[in-house]
Amino acid sequence: MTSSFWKVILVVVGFSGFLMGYAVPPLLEVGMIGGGGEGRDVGIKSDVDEEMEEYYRDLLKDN
Amino acid sequence: MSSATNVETIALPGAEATAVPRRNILWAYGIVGLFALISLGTFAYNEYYTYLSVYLWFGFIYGVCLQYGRFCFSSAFRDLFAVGVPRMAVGIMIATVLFALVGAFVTATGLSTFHPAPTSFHSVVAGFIFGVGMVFAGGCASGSLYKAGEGNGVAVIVILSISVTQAIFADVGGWTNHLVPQAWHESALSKGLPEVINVSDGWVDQYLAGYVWNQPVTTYAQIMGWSNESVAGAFLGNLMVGVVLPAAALLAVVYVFWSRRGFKNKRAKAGGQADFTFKDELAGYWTMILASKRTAIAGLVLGIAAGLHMFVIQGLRVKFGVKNAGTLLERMGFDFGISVNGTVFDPGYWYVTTQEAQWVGWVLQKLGTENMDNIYFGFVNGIPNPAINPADWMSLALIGGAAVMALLHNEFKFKKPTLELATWAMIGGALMGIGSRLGLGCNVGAFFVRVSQGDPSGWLFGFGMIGGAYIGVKFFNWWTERKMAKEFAACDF
Repeated sequence: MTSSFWKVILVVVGFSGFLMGYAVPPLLEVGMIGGGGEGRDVGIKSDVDEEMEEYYRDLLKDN
Repeated sequence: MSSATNVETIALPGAEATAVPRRNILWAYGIVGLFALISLGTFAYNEYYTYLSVYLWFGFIYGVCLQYGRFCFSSAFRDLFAVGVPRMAVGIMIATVLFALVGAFVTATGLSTFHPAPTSFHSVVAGFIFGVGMVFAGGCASGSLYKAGEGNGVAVIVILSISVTQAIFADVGGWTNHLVPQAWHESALSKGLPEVINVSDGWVDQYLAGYVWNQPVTTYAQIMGWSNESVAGAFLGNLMVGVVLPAAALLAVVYVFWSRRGFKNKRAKAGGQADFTFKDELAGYWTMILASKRTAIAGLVLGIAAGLHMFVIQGLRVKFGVKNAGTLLERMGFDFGISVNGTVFDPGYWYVTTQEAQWVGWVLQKLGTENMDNIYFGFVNGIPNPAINPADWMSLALIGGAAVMALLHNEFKFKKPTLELATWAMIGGALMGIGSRLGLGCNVGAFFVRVSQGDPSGWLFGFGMIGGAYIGVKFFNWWTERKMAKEFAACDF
């Protein structure tokens, strides 16, 4: 095995490796690999503070 | 490197060491450097070009593998049926199994970009026409690409013929409309396609919308009641039932008819036992499989590369928020040749023939022919400028990869075609072009990829292709014998 062949392989692996690295973060982010990502936290988010939430829960109790 | 002889000795894996002229090595570096420059330059210009670079580098890897493994279905079946040598046909079968193994992993992880095709008898007919064509041409769709990279002029003519025939065939209308069964015509009209497609004009349009689209689309996993993404579906359904068992059965047939006698004779000469037990049969079967090591290695690497290709494309689709490269091209300001659905041909894995049709379709459109009023170009694949067509980047890089491999093993040589070979190349290429459009793919897209991903239509195309190759070989033998008899008769000894 000589260096010319391996130099070519190195360049090809370098570029395809970069492209693979480029593709992984988005897949991780949406949970397509690793099963994690934002998917676990998706739901209705509220800016209402805890006191107000308690107030609304108490309203229901009154009924 | 020897300065006196200006050659370098290169030993590729599994091959003998070869003395390679320095000039070849420089050319190989030049090709790789050009692709690197294209990748870096376009990335610096616009990040979206990364998507096209994925096709480029995986195309390059496919080319390297094809040239290394001599991955040509035409040569495989010609060797088998004409001279009884099964080595390459066995290698292709092993490669299919290995590709399927990788495919099962990708499918089980839910990252596959593969879509099964409609399954019906049309695949057998298409495969048959394709099979006859590839024997006439002396190279299949993938084989012609890597042979073009080796400097083979006949292969270039085959590619041109496949490309032109497909582009014309996909849009053929006029008198051929009279050949369309009424049921196809009515069914095609009922699909509610956009007016711009003009589905009632065009044989292929009515064949697709009126017949092919009505056929069932399934996989072995789904037939057995599993989803493709489940482990059972991907590995038991698609891989084991869909690929390993049929491939093992086909290899057994090849062993019995083409390999067994040679193995028995070899055993007898080596002073083996007189009786041939089942254990000996298994040893013979295994020896036949191991004899195709180089093609099998190429198949394994092809499989891994195709799997990674799907994975990377899927990642970039998520990153850029697109489902198809057509959206990216539009965002970059290229709106010519995008289909009415906003798509272009973007399979996300290895494919050969559609991009060949597209560049001719683009040329014809530029010359004034209306090519966007048919389903193939106008509704599904588009005809973008070849310079920014992702799949065209893949095919050009594939030729480049094959050229680099050929240069580094001193197998690159410009071969000018003779008139006779050029004629057969055109006829064979035309038949392959028609077969590809009827079967929605070639020996790669309609057979190799579909079989390995558990799509039953792949085997149907394959059986048709084997039948066509057999008839093609028999015809060629008859033709050659007839020609030689005439030449001998004309000689005055």
